[in-house]
Amino acid sequence: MEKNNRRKILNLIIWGWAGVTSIPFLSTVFRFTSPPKREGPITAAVSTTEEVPPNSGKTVSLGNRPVLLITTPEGERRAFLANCTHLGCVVRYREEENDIYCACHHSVFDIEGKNMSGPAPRPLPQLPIEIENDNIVVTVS
Amino acid sequence: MIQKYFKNWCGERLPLDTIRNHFKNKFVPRHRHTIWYYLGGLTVFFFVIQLLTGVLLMIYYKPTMEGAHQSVVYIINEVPFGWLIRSIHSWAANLMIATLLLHLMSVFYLQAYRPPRELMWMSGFILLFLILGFGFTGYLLPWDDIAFYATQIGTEVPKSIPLVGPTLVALLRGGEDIGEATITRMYTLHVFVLPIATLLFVGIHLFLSQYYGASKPITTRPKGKDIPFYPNFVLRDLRTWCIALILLIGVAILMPWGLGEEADILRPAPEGVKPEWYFIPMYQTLNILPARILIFDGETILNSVLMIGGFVVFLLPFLDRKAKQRERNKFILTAGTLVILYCIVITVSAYI
Amino acid sequence: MYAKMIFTIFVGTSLLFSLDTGPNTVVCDLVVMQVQAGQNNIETKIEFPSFEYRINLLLYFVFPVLILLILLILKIRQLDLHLDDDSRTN
Repeated sequence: MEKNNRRKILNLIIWGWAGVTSIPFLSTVFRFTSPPKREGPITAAVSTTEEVPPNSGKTVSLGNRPVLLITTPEGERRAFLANCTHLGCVVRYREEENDIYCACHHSVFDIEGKNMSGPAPRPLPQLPIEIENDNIVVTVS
Repeated sequence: MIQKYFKNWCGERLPLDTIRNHFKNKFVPRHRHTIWYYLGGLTVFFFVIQLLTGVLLMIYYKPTMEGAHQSVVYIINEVPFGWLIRSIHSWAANLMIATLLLHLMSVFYLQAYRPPRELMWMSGFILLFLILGFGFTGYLLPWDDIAFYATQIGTEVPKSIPLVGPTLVALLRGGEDIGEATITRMYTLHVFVLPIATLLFVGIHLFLSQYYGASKPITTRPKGKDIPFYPNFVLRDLRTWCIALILLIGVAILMPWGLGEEADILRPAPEGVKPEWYFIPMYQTLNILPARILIFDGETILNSVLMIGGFVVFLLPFLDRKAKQRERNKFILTAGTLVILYCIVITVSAYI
Repeated sequence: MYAKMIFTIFVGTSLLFSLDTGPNTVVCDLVVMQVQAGQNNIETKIEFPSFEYRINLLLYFVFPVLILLILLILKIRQLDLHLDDDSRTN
């Protein structure tokens, strides 16, 4: 009886320790597969002012992210992260409706980036924008 | 309670009792050659390591001419533990081939291929070629200059096979020369075709090994009682795997696998272009052989000898009539020993 | 009882998912393609971590395996003792 118990305890210790042994290996696999962190803020000239005339939009890439540049009919320039806040599809500017639209699930944002209708839960994040020598300079964090 | 319920649920649906009875009644003979029984399991262990690390490397590797070398550099320099995973993959590949060759030799010397285990020998022989195929196709993937030239030479060899040679070379290279098409072809073979074929044959090989059990050598006397396969022998296998894992991680960390300069098609061949050590006997024989022997091409002769030799080894269980009657076949053992000695001597001569 | 369990699992997973719906949880194909096209500024010299670091790493991996190995050897001994007991009685 006592012998049987001892055997059981040793089995338990072995199984338990096998679990412990797997931890460094599993964590290594996890670290290996985790994608590298995004780098800090990137600022770059992404377009010329001529390419985005009033009442138009243009999608550019900055630090591997899509950025939507728009110029309102009044000539005001804005930049948004172009991923829809619903499920991340890339949004576009609609000249006729004068708004921003996501074709995936029909979310509509106004030209301030505010979510107006459709499933989008939050406004589009607006990005700092500057005009330097006819170039549009955008910062993405 | 849940455990018991789960056991019953599975037991009603799967032949668990049959499997349990099989393992209960399986014994491994104990004698002074028992140690050789671990080599097959060890090879499987390294193969599993290769599958796991291979999948991990596949996440970052890019099989293109611009991307191949860069992505391997990226894995080594940037990805956390990337250098380690690649080092383990390279080391385990070599260790796997080493244990595979030792396993082959032990089966040969213990004449375990004799009836009824002919199919085990034949499936094992096919596995040998599949694993060598892994080595050959994987060697090119980092796209460094040594690998480039080794593959250049390696894919040139089948050219001298009559009739099918040039077609075979073109198929391997995906064109006249080695380039992007070669990388994608080698990659497809390395990560898909060969793994599937190998898993199939490993399955057959393992099933047969369970079915027949370990072979008792002809002349050896048993030492004590046979060992129950489960749990005694399984634990011994696990013990061997632990030792192998320690050794593997040790070499992979202390001697991390390097990477040469990126291959350049225009650069002349660098010094010391050599295939991996397991291809050296073939490569070196090609170097020694005169270009022409009588009316035949040197390469053609080597290819023919290798093909006939391979065929003889494949059919060895049928050719060895003495082993069938449980006698040692001196002729075959001597011939095999001579071949092994030749391989060892020529490999050593290539490295001096 | 099962209905309750399934309901709990359902509510639990829904809650977990609802916690994790930031703007970038699902990324379009476009973005993925740009990621692949973007990595072109990698140097070609490889570098391994320092020897001290690697020794520590070796201990980190090998130490647990070594303990497991010792436990396995103990277990094998225990079983073999039993095996020899059997052979004596036979």
